[in-house]
Amino acid sequence: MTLIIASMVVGFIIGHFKLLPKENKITQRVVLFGLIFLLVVMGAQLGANKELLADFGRMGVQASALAAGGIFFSILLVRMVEGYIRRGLTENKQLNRQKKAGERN
Amino acid sequence: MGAALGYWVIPRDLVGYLDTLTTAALCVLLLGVGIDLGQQKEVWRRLWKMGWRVILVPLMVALGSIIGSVVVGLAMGMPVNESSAVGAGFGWYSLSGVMLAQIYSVELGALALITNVVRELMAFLLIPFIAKYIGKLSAVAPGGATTMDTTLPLISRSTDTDTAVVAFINGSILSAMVPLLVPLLIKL
Repeated sequence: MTLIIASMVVGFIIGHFKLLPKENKITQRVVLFGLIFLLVVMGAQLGANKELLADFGRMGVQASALAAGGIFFSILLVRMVEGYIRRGLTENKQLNRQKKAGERN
Repeated sequence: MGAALGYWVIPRDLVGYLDTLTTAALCVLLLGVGIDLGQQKEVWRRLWKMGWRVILVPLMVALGSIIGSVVVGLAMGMPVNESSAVGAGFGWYSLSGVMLAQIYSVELGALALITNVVRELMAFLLIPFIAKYIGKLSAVAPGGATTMDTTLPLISRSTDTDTAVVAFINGSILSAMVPLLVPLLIKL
């Protein structure tokens, strides 16, 4: 697990401090091919597991319930702070407008 | 394709040997994800301009996704570490699926993949209704990490410019959280 998190942190530092040449598309290709490779391997591991394949119907129901639960609570919590965030956005807009007007004067 | 290979082509013994190769591939993949996230300075610039209250949106989405998965998971008799790690995929099905398949079990990896695919599909169906009847910012919640790419055009069409910018910030922050939270929660 440490190796996995360390890989991402090292990547973040490389990206943040621009340690790679500009307009580099290699990273996007690495991510895409890495994901495809790992999904194929995961598929192969699943395909080789006959018991797991037989259990796919139950897994679909479980997945739908988990997804619905996650969505429901996310909406609920965001709704609880929606008004507070909206007020902040309005105040921030007014402040930016005042700053711009001040700069002009 | 992978499932067909595993079922008919690759000998069962050989599948076990893929472990070292896939761990290396996962590290290279996360290095790439890290570089991509590190280069996204636009997110911080926009966040600075809109005010720090906006950060509450990804925090609430993350918390809600994990709480929701844990509650449903407990009702189905799932251990908390498994349900919370699946919920922490935030809709990024490919990454959460391969990470859990690699560091925990192929079964949970498959469950994370399906759960997060279903989440993205549900998000496409729900976003217009939530924007209309519940609240525009709430419409950002179902998409999770996908609000920076796949669900962003729909959010933009169903809400307003401010919400679309919040959605982009939300997706970027949640995308950065997935590779950190999934391995941490599964070790609980």
